[in-house]
Amino acid sequence: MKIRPWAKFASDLPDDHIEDGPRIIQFGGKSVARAIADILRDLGYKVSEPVYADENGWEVYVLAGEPRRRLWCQVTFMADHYLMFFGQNSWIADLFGTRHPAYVDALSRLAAALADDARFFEIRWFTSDELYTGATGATCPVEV
Amino acid sequence: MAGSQPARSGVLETMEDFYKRRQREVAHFGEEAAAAARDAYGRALRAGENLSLPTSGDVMRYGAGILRGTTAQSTLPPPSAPTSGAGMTGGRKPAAPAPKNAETWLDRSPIAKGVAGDAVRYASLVPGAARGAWNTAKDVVNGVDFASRLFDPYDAESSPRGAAAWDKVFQGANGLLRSAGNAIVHPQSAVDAGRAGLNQLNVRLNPQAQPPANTFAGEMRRQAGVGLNQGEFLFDAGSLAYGGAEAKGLSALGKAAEASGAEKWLARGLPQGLADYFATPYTGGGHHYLPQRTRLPQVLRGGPVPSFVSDSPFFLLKPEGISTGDMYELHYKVDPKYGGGKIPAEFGGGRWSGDELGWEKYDQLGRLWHGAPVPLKALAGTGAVGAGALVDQFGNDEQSR
Repeated sequence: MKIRPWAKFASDLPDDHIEDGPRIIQFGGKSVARAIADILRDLGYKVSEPVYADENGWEVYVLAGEPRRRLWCQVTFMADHYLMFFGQNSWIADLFGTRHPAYVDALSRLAAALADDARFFEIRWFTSDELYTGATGATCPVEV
Repeated sequence: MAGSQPARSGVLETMEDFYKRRQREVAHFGEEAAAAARDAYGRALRAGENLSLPTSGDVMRYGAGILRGTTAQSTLPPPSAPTSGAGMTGGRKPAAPAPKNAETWLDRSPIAKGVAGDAVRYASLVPGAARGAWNTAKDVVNGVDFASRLFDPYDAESSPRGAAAWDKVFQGANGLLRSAGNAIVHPQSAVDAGRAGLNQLNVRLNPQAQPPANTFAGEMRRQAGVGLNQGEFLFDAGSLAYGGAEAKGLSALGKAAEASGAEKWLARGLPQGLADYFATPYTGGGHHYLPQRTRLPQVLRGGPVPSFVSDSPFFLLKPEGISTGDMYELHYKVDPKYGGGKIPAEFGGGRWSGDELGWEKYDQLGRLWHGAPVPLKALAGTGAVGAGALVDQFGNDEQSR
C-alpha cells in the first residue's frame, strides 16, 4: 500500500495571511484549516480548533477510530496554493513507518470529501519524496 | 654496532640487544608506574583525599615513587596538593594556594560551592563549544592545505627531507602498524593505554572525577575548566557524527560563508527579492523540539505539553540574532513537515520551497541533534558524561573484585 499524505490544492477561501512591510505577522491558512476541521467533524471525528504554528501554518488535531488514534493535519499557505499534510500523531508510527487502519480510513474519507467540496480544487496528493520535484501527484492518497 | 654488555643471565649481548632490552624494561616499568599511580588515585578519591597529578609526567613520577617505596599512598598529603588553596582548572593546571587567613564562609560551604559550581560549569558549555568549533575550523583549513600539498608535484622538492606531505602519510601509516603490532604482542599494554585514555577523558569532563577545590574561587575555576572541556567535547562529538557537511562548508563554501546579508544568498543563486527577505532578522516563533501536537502520557493527565516547557530555551530552537533565511533553512532541515512558504509582497511576493532551493533534510538522528537547542544538548551532554563516569566507576569496581 502506498500512502501520499501531502496534498497540494487551491481554494477560494480567504487566505488570512497578514503582512506588515517586510514582516509576516500571521502566516495564512486559518480559514482552510477551519474548513478541513469542519469536514472531519462532519465525518464523525473529534477535531480541535485550528492552532497557529507560525511558519508551519495552521494545525488541527484529530481523534479517530476505537480505541482513539491521534491524527493531525497541517495547512501551509504557499501564495499560489495550499500545502496540507495529514498524518498520524505518533513518533513510534513515524519511526517504524506503520499505518494504522484508522489513519488510512480517515485519509481516504478526507480525500473523498475534499474532492466533493467546491471550495477546494486542483487537488493532487504526493509522497514526501514527490513534493516540488515536478511530479504530477495522484488524485487519491491511498494506492492499494 | 661495536661493543657488548653482559646480560643478566651472564651471556654477552650486543649493544643493540642491550639497548632494546633496556627500552623494554623502561617501557614495562612505565606501564607498572602508571598503573600504580592510577590505583593510588582511585584510593585517594575513595578516601576523599586531594591528590594532584595534573600531567602524565607527574603520574609517572608518583607511580615510580610508589614502586620504589619512596612515596606513601592515600594517607599522606599529595606532593603538591592545594591543601589550603585553589583546586584544578579543568583538572589540568594546579592553582596557586590561597593564604589560610583569607578563607571565607563560601570557601567552607560545600553547598555554595556545589550550586555556584554547577552554574559556572553550565555557563562554560557554550564558550567550550565555540572553542571546539574554532579548533575544527582550524583543522579544516589545515586539512585543505595538507590535501593540496598531496597533489602538488613540487611538494617533495620544496619540503625538507621527511617533511613532504606523502612522507607524513607513510610515517602515520607506519606508526599505526607499530601500534597495532604492539597491541598484538602486548595486549595488556593496549588495554592499559585504553583505560588511561578513558581516565584522562573522565578527569577532563567529569566534575566528580576530582575532589572539589578548597576555596570557592578555586572551585569556580575548576568547574569552568570542566565546563569548557564538556562544551568542546559536545561540539566535537556532534560534528563527528553529523558535522561533515558543515565542516566541508567551512572550506569549500568559504566564500559564501564569509559573505553576509543578501550577498550570501545571492551567491547561492537565489533571486534578489528572496535574498533580501532571507537577509532580514528572523522574528518568527522558532522550531519546537516538542511539537505542539505532542501529548503528555496519561499518567501525567494527558493534554498538551505546557507552553512554559515547550517554549523554554531547552525545547525551542530559535538561535539569537539568526536571519530569516538561516532560520528557515535550519527549520527545513530539522522538521520533516516544514517545506516553505510565502514571500512578503515587499520582497516581490510569490513562494519559496526548500525542495526547489535544493536544501536537504536531515535523517532522524540528524534531526535529533541539530533540532535540539544548545541548552538541551548541554543537558544531554552532562547526562552522557555522568553515564561515562558510571561506566568508569563500574570498571573500577570490576578491577577491585
